[in-house]
Amino acid sequence: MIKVEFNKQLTLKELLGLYKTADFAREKLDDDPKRLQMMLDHTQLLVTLRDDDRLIGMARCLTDFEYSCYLSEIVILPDYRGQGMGKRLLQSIHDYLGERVAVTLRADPGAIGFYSEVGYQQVDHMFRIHREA
Amino acid sequence: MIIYSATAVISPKQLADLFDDSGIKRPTADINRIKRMINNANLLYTAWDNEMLVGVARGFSDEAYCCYLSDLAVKKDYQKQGIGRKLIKKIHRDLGSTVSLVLAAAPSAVGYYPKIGFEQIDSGFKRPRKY
Repeated sequence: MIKVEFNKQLTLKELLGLYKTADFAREKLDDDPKRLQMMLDHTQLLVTLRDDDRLIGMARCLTDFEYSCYLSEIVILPDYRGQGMGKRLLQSIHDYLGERVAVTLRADPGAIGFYSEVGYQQVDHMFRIHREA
Repeated sequence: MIIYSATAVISPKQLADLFDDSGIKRPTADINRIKRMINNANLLYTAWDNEMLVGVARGFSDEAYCCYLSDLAVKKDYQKQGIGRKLIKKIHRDLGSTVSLVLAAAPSAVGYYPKIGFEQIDSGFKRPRKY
């Protein structure tokens, strides 16, 4: 059975396995495990999607649970794509945070249509200073 | 002289007044909400002119890859003196160059961020809040 969990245990090994299988965040695979663990420990809202015990998706949100949320990462295993899993993960984040929190994100080029379908508007007022490494 | 702090404790009333005095639109009528916005942000940098709060940058970071800046507000009388830039610079210095800074600008501030080193994100999406 597929279930969504909030801020439940996620090991670094599971996370890296998900990144690798999903061909996501490739640049992180060789990073210092301490840095990755720091990222996991300090992420305010970590949402995991599991099929029984198997990790099949994950979303990492930076948020105050009150006003803003930045969806820093969202990933679904390839075998589970095209089955509404991304939608389900997003919906559970929206339900968890409620209507008072705005959610922003930077979409991968391939996912632009998807976000429009699930209630997001494309905006041209987001900015960043990208990390150096 | 303006003094900057990464640790100063501020009251919900101080933050609400600063938001109102800076022209930024935030839910300042709901003081409990402002209180939770203070308590739940893991970054709250402040700028002070003596005892008076004149600027704030509020954000959420994973302290390893990314930081989202939710609010940057400077009191109207103190704008255009580089206080906002300095607040961001201090956050970036403390987090390090290996952490990205991301934000959604107010319509009036879209011209500001490129001037202080930000690049526009061309695939930004937003699900607006209802209140």
